[in-house]
Amino acid sequence: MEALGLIGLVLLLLAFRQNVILILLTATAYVHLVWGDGRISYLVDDMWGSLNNEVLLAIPMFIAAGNVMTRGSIAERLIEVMRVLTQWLPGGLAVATILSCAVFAAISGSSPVTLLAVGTILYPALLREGYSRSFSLGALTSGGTLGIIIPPSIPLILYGIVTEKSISDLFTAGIVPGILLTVVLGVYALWMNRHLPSKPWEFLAIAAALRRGIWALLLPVVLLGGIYTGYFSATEAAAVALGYALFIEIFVHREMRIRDFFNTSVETAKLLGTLFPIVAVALSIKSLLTVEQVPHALAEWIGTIVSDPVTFLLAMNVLLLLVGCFIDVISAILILGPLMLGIAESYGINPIHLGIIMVINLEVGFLTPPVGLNLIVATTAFRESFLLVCRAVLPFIALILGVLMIVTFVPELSLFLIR
Amino acid sequence: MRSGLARALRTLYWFEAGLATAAYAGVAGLLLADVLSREIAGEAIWGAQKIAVFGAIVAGFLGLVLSTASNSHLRPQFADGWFPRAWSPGVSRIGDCLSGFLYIGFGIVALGYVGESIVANERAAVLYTPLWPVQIVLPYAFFSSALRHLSFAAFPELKPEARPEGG
Repeated sequence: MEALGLIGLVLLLLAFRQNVILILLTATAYVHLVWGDGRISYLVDDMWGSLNNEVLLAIPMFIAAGNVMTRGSIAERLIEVMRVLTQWLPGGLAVATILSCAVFAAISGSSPVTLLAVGTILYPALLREGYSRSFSLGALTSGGTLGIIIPPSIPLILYGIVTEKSISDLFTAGIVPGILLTVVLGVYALWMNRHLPSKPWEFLAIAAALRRGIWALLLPVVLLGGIYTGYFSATEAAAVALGYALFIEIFVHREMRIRDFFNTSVETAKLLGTLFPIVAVALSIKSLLTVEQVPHALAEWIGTIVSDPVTFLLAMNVLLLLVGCFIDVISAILILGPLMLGIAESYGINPIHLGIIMVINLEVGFLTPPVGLNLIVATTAFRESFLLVCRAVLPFIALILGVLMIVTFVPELSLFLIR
Repeated sequence: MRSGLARALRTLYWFEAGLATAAYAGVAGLLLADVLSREIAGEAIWGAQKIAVFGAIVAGFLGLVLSTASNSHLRPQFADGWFPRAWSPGVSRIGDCLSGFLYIGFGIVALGYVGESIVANERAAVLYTPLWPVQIVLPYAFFSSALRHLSFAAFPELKPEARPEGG
């Protein structure tokens, strides 16, 4: 009866268009009242305890670094580098689109921002050079999602926090699956546009583009190199990323002024304001679930139904794909991460590998209706019909699912760099 | 009445945005200085990480208010069609009313929590300073968000177009 009350409450809040934070806050308050100690103040106590934690500092720093670099001319510089490097290939601009999305995603850490920054420049260019409307929309909308798996990735940081696993290990584990996804999407782009004409190498143009874009291209190298060699922790890497971004935007590119810094800070604070309370409430739910031994009980129950890890992994993938259709990636990671961890560990699945599987699964959620954020952003930004965008991403979803299966059943792809 | 409220909300927005920016700049500056100090002088700045955590909490909860003010919170939209489309403006206003009252409720709970912290003289680890001057941002953020939602319910034209953050 109490469980029905909780479901009814959530449905009521959904019907009356409440945001994720209020839905989580209210549902958690209900759980505290009904199944906990009957005091809602424990919710605020848990929220404060969750946020009063140095590990969380990586989040605002990476968000700020991404916002600083997004505001300048980084996207345009990166695209130019990718364009001149791939123009000798038939369908080179399509490959440049995927590579630009991957590199920009590694800087901004945000899928919709990547889609907008790269798409604004490349969508008209793709159409102008004879690429089909459907392919161009699909490549940009799907390429934008690479930000979620390529480090530094906010969902990977959140998974690390909520499951108490090393964020540096998660970042390192995300490198190969991220590259694999980029290669698969790039090869598909090449194959689909192989009939289009190519252009010769232009060494002078390549040198000029590299000179303009070298500072932006170096950021992922510095960050991942620092984390992979153990020189930086995730929080230190985030601070270095922000310092580097500010330095090149102010002193090298000369694109940022005080007013821009103010606007960037406000945008960052807003993003943090949507994220931090969700993190706090989710960690509060996690504490409550742990005290009540829910993950353990759930693992035991699922163990009676599913006998082997392969079936469990398949079932988990289906569940996460469904969840990704209805819940945003942040809430899904924070709520399901601790629950899945307990069950996965009982099947001998490595927690870092689990994090990578979860994040790629939820990446697909950016491309599936009704709440696929990239679908909505692409429809609005490119002024195309929602149905056309949905159809355009279908082949790319199939490719991402293929990579997901490989990453799921070949754990070494994610784990060999951290062993 | 409406234009006066709009002006007051705008002023409040810029005040909160200024505070959030200052908090953010403080966090970024402290963390960068901490990393540099560790690399150059070989030791971390005392209390820098803890102060940065508090700065991030302040920036984050002011961000909650700024997101409310600009209608950019993450919101599941798949249930928007549960009521007939013609009822949409009314449902939206009732939703804002509900949000306002929920935030007031959570604000009262958070205020009680801060009160208990003052009575118990809770102090920060490492810094050993009272916690309540930082904790007060929690009830403030809830009450300020409530003010925004109730204003949107009373005057829907003050509510900006939805522009979700995240991803």
